[in-house]
Amino acid sequence: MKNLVFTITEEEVEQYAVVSGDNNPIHLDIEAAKQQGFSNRIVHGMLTAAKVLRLVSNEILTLQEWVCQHEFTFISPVYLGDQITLTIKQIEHKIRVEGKCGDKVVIKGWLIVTR
Amino acid sequence: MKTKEYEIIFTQKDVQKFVQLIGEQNPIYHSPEGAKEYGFETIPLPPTMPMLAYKWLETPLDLQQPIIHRKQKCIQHQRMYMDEIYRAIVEVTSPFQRQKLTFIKQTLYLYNNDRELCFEGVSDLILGGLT
Repeated sequence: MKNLVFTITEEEVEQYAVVSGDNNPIHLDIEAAKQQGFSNRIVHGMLTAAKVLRLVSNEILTLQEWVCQHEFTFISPVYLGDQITLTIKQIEHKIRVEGKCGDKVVIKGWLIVTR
Repeated sequence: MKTKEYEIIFTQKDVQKFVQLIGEQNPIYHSPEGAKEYGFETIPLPPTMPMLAYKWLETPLDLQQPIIHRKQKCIQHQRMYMDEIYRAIVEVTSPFQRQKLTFIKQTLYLYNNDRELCFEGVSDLILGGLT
């Protein structure tokens, strides 16, 4: 088991909106986010997923291994600047991940690794 | 309900922007030379990158705010590479309504030029509505 910590900044969310074309206002406009019941702008789910996979790729996998399948549930919103503690458990080719902000689980899932 | 078919190409510039943004350090994603050093013909796509195809296509239905991404499953049936032509189709299935919210599954399919399925990305979305 391994624990890793990461955050996602306002700049990264804005860049992700440009790169992905996902301009959903809950990510970019605090008033729109508040109107939908969030306390701040929230991070794109796929940006959180991409960061999780990057950490697994850089910290756990060899250069020849890659993630051919993954599934994530976005359990609670991740807000700009939140610190996420990721717990990674690997059993052969399957890796389970769980990300928490404080005590709250925000993302949970698994991935399959191949060569 | 399905979209028409769209032609998609992920360029080296697209891959570079994406790996810089997420902080990916694996050299196979940074240059064709780095990829070749580890046995690839050219730069492969990072695992979540095929989902960026949505940038270049229209979804089959108009999704109304709020749009909440609840769950995501991605399967890369075969390794995908920069500068290759892929054909994208999006399908919306299983819509149902609970209280004022609409729940759907939206699936992105990416095929190569030989019509082989390379990627499936199933998104569970919660919406304000669907038209």
